[in-house]
Amino acid sequence: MSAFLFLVFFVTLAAGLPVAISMGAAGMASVLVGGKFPALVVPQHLFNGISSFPLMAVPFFVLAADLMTASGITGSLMRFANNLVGHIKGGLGHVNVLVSMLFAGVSGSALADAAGPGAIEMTMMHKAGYDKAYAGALSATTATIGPIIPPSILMVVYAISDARVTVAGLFLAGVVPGLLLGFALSATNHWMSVKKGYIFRSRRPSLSELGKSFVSAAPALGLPAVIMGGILGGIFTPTEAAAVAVAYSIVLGCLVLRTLNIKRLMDVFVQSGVTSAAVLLIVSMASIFSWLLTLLQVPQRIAWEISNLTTSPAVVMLLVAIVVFLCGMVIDTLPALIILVPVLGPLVDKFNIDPLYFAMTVVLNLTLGLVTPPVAPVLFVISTVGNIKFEDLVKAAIPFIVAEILVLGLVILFPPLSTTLPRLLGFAR
Amino acid sequence: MARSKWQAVNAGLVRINRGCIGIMLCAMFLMVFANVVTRYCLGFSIAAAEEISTFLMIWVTYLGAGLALREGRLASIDVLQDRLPAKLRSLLRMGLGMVMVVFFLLLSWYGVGLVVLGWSQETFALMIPRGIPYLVVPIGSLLFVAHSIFFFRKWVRKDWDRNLAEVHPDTGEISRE
Repeated sequence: MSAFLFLVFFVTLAAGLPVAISMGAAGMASVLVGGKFPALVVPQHLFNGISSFPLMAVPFFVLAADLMTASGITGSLMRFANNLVGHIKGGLGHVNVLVSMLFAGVSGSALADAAGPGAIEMTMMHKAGYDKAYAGALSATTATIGPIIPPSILMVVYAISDARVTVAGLFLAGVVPGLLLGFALSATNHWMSVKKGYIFRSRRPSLSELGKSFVSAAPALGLPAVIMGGILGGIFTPTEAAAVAVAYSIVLGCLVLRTLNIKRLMDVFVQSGVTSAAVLLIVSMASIFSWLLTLLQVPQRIAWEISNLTTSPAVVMLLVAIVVFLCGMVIDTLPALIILVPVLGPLVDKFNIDPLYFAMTVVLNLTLGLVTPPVAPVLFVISTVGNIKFEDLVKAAIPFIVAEILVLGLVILFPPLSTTLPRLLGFAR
Repeated sequence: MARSKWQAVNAGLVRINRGCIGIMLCAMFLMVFANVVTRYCLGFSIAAAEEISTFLMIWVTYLGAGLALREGRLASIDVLQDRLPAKLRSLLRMGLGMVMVVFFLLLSWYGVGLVVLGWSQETFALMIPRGIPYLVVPIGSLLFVAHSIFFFRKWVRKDWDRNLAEVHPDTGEISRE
């Protein structure tokens, strides 16, 4: 039965069936062919797999980010970032990195960043004289900071699929790696800009200009403070925090900035609803798939095989990193996460690895999959939006991807990078 | 004549479907937010609101899946099929479209079974038959089938609906086609 499950899954996946439906179809086909369970278990798992209040943080974080983008707050974030770092060598590139880091505090997904601020930054950089592929590659790779700096949809789903970690703990674990990613990309941009002669920079702003742009960006900067403060202070659950973030964005867009009206608001609700449907359909369909995996003892068998191979946690982490990286290259981030978490989870217990550290390496590793071909959703978005040939974009992205892999290596080598902050604040178990 | 009728039904289906999704997401938000407010201001929260909003999320997922298909937002791996000659690729995509239709037809059939089974159980907070929220499985599946059929030719050509928000390169504003 497990052979059949994998056969249907991989054949339909390779043929180009949507990943969500591949998982559902493989699950249903195995149940029907196996004959051990009534077919009713399929709709039952699809329903119960997403019948979860904590999971509701996902649509709300999507909604909050869409509302923020629609209210035009991204523009003021960009002006602020430009005033802050635009006058350094490779200026707009650094602005690009900084905006992604700031926007990461609003949105939970890399695609939202790539399609929103990423696309705008790319156009700005191109206009300023940067090579289009270079600008696109930087926008794409900076977008991967989104799921690492909290809030993060990936982390919410991770915490729901693995009881060993909490959303708050994972959010905190992502802070230092997220900052590291930002530094690494900025440093690479600096080096490349010097090498390629991109010395265009903006004029150094006066202090009052900087202050003014800070004030207009402050509402957007306040949002992550509300979200994280609320969750860490034990005031809200992540789902409630996400709902508060939505309310905050609506008040900001409709009453403060006055850029949103009822019609626009409704448009955003529909758009976010469809985005959420696409994300949650994957979670739903994956639940039947991973239920079958667990039932067939696949995770246990893998853990057992690996423990026969080695007894060193370091070697296990290396093996996991390679497996996850390869999966991230060919499967989309979220489905890869949902399939891998139950499969790799037993390793954490068996080798006594810190679950938060383990989770952080997996999330970071899979996020790199967003920009590693052949399946690189963020590169696809940027190549479509910016009308850049995919191959050129990939070539230009290589130095940045290497920088990100180095950060991943650091996070794997030094567990305290991810575990210190949650431990200090008492969110590690 | 028949063709314009077909298109009118198609457009109507999309419009009503979009409206439902927007209203449901809005209702979810209002319920959860109201619960936050009542809990911290008045000291109580409504368990039923938590349950209804969770069910609504599942409804949004299954009622929105067809729209996500139309907008090309159901992620798939197309690198291999893109290497096929155009004719073969169209044939493959037709086949995949039919696989989706068959899968969701089966799902709606077993979904009806689930609704029947769930009719004799009660939900925790609302104490209504579980069959009522379960209804989304057959309804959503049939809706997806309807979208697949209306969208079939465009699915084969990967001619996605342009409902994706487009970001204006200068102002950062979202506009719609």
